[in-house]
Amino acid sequence: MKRFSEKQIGLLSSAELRSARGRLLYWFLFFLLVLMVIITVFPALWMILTAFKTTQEIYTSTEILPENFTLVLAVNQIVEAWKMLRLGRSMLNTLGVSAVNAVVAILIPGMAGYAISKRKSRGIGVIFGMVVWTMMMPATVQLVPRYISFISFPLVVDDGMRSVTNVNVLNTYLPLWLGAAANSFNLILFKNAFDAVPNTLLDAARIDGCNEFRIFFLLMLPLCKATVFFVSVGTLSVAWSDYLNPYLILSEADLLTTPAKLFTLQGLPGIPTNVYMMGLVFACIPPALIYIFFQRRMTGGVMMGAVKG
Amino acid sequence: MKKRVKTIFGALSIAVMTLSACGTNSERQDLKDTGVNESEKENTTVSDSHKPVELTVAWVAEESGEYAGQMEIKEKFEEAYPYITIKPDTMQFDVQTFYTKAAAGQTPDLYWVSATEVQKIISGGYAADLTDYLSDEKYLEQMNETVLEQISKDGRVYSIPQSVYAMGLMYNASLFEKAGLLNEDGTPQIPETWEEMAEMAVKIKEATGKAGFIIPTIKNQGGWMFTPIAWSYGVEFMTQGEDGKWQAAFNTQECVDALQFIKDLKWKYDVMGANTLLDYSEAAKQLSIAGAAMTPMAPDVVDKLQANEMPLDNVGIMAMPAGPVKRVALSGGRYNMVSSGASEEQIEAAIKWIEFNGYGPDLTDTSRETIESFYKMQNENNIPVGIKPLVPYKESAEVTAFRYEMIDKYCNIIPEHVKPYNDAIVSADVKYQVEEPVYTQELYAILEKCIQEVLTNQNADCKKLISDACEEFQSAYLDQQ
Amino acid sequence: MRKNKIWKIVLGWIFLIPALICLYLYVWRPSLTGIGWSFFKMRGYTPEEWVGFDNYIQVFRTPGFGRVMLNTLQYVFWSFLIGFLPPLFIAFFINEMVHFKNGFRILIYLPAIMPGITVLLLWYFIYYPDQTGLGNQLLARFGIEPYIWLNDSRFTIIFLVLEMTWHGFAGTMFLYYTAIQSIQTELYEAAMIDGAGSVRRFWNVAIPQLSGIILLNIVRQIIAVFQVLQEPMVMTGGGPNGASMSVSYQMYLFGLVQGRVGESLALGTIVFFLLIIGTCFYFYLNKKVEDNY
Repeated sequence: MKRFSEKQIGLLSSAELRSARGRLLYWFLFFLLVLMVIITVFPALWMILTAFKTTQEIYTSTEILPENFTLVLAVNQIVEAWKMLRLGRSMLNTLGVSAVNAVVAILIPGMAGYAISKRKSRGIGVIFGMVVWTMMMPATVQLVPRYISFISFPLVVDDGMRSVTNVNVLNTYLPLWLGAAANSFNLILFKNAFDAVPNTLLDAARIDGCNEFRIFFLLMLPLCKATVFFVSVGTLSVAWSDYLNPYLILSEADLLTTPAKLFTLQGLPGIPTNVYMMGLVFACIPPALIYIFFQRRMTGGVMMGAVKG
Repeated sequence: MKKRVKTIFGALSIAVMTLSACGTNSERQDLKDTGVNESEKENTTVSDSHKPVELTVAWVAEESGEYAGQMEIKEKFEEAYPYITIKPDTMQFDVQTFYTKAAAGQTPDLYWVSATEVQKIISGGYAADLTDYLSDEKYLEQMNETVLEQISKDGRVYSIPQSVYAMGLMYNASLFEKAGLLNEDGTPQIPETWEEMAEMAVKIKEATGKAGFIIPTIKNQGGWMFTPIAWSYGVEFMTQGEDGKWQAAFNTQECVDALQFIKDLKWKYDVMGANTLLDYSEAAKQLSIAGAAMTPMAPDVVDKLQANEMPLDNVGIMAMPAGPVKRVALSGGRYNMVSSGASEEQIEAAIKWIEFNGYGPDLTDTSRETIESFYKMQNENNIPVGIKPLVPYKESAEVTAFRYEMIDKYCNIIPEHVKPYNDAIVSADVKYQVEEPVYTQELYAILEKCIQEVLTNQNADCKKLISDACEEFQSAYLDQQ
Repeated sequence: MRKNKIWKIVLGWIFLIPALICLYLYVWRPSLTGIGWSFFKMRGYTPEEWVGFDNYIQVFRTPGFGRVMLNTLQYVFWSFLIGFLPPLFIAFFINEMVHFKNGFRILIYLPAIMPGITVLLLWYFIYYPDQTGLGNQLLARFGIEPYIWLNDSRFTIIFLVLEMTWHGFAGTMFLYYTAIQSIQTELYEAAMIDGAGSVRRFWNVAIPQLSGIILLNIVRQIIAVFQVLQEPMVMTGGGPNGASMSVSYQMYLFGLVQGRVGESLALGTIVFFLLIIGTCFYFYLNKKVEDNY
């Protein structure tokens, strides 16, 4: 088995894999993973098939496949649902919002994580503590005061000044972008990732005359590709899943993102349940595609022997 | 030195943050007045001034079948009243989003909510006081007492009813037919009492294997449904003392009997479904797919049946059966409310819109049109038409008659299935009552736990459950008055 | 040189300030407002008069409050029992694969990219108590009678935790996976030379290297599960008989369903401080771990 001999050492080495015991262990792990795949894929697949059933069938049938399941019918159903739900505009919106969110989520927590990681001082420690505590506050407490603050944003000043400094940011995407930026978990992730980059590397770069911005964009981020990937995929997933915030903030139906739009369509007369479920399936597709497309490129890329010794 | 600076800086920043947070409070009162969609704010003294008014009205989503019809009405209205512009706000009522928006003054100027939310909204200060805009003769004196109770607080009125329904027992005619409970002419056999209903449920279970009777049990809807059942057993949940304070009064044998009945339905008669965690959407769904035969339901949620594609021929409703003491149903329905941030002109415009849509006490030409187009639109969208609502105004015989006429005209369900219910409405056989006055949601939550307990535990002690619940309600809530 | 130093400090702040501003506007200010309001009698979301700790006392007196806290602790407990180890192990296994590695990575990540409502709806179907539920259909293939799933109050929380795990494990797994990838292979080689087998290498090489991220995930999981809201809200309404009621759902009920906003905010503040105590514990552990290096 050529592949075995080329395997990088980990819990199993290529040497061990030559023995029967090693092989057994390997295939056992393989088997467990296949089991996991079944557990993850099967329900999702079932969900998709269910969306093709008629509404009455969804609730009553005990078969996995819908009755009358032919390709023509299926395609027809997809087209019908798409036309009825009119998700096209919302999908474009969601793409836009999620893209900006991802960029913002890398930039702002990333830069802050870099600063916290590389400038050790008492004050920074306090700030980091406050960032960590951000995660502790239950969302329900924040929801209404935050929403109210968006009407007259960002400062709280008296009436006279208001039109000068404040703006009503409802019905814009700004609150959503802000939400992506104000993610303390991502900040902590970046900080941890940057902690792992040895300072010697940074010093070398500085000696070469790089300013901090170049270091950040051309050195730190590429070295922590995995974190960047994780943060962007996470942010994208949230953008395609969060219905509450867009629904609250956006009052024009044309601006809604897909999950919020689906939320408004739930249970409407004229939208039968199976069409709604088909809509949910539609909403899963873009994030899946994005993930599949990017995941190959982004794993690995952690410094491999950049600095020896 | 450095450390000192840092500490001071830290303390200062916290102080600034706290102060700014406090600032947000007082600011908000002004924000409510400024509102987002208002164009005029001054008080006008000239009564016939027609300054342009913009009114944001809650609207259905574009994808809904009702959208086109509503837009037509909007056009006609704006023609009739050129100074009023209607701005549709496609909102879907959801508890979480509604109250958040209301807190920020961001709800539409005019919207509707279901009956259970009305008092909550009033208590929260989110509803405009409409008393001065509704003339006594036309509105306040004409309104049914129960309806008036539901929309008033401390003598002021905060809402205009849109459609008021007496809750009934919704049933699935196909299951009735299979069990032989449908008469020759298509009318169902009516259970006059809860016991009769239980027997019918048993027959259905035996003949079809499906649940005979289900009720919601979660999200406070179970408690909500339980209250009229308990009332029919003679239960009074709270009584008001001379000092104005309410006392819990349901630790009685009657209440235990009512709870025992629910328990029997599950364990003795075995007519309930396997799922004991259902809300009313789920109950409606079960009814639609013929998974259950009967469930108490407010007819204003018939569109849930449509979303589940219930065959219209199977739709049926009966009046609530009588308990040992009385026959009573909850009144539910949709109530128009105006946001507390609306200006005088907006309130007046809102009332005009309501009347234009046929929800006022007078029958005008325009309201004829709108009422007719409403039922026509429902018919075209396969929403069940045929169940008759209560009309909130006593002397509005014209409107009532016309409304019933339109319902008959556009009826798309089998009329015999709902005939007994409609007859009872017209003849006012069933009394209807309004929800409990204070701590209603909390009461429902407590009652619900009892219901869930008896439905999941065969050995539940009803007496103890009720007595504990009564005590809990008293000490945790009523004592706080 | 002096100028350079000042410039360095300023630059440092330039990097930091955007995040601080965003956090302030989006989290800190609303939180402080919320905490402030919890000491007032609220009418809707308008503070009326100062009542000190009244709301807090009312929260403790709420019937079933003890149960709610206990439930939430149960959620955390089960989520650790069921959901903490799988992502770790799966990440290791995938790392070891030479066949189909990519495929595994993609397919196993699937649940994490499905929108929340979809997952909730899916599992609602799986858990449906009569014969149409997917879970019962599976049982039927083995000849077992339909089971009531969520209606069984002994296990409701466990079933909900299963759903949460299914949805969330992939993200955590990915975090571990990238961390595992960055473990230097020399360490393994050195251990092998010392005669360590697979298991030993796991314990003595891999786990210590991952201790940082493991700790972070512990804290994150506690915080996230403490705030579980959607699962009880959508799937059980807190039932049966309060068996799955969580703290966040109770807050939601207080603030938005019962109109008791003061209590809602008070409960939130209580949770906040409980979690802070938890984090201090994290800092303490983290320091200990770092001290070992």
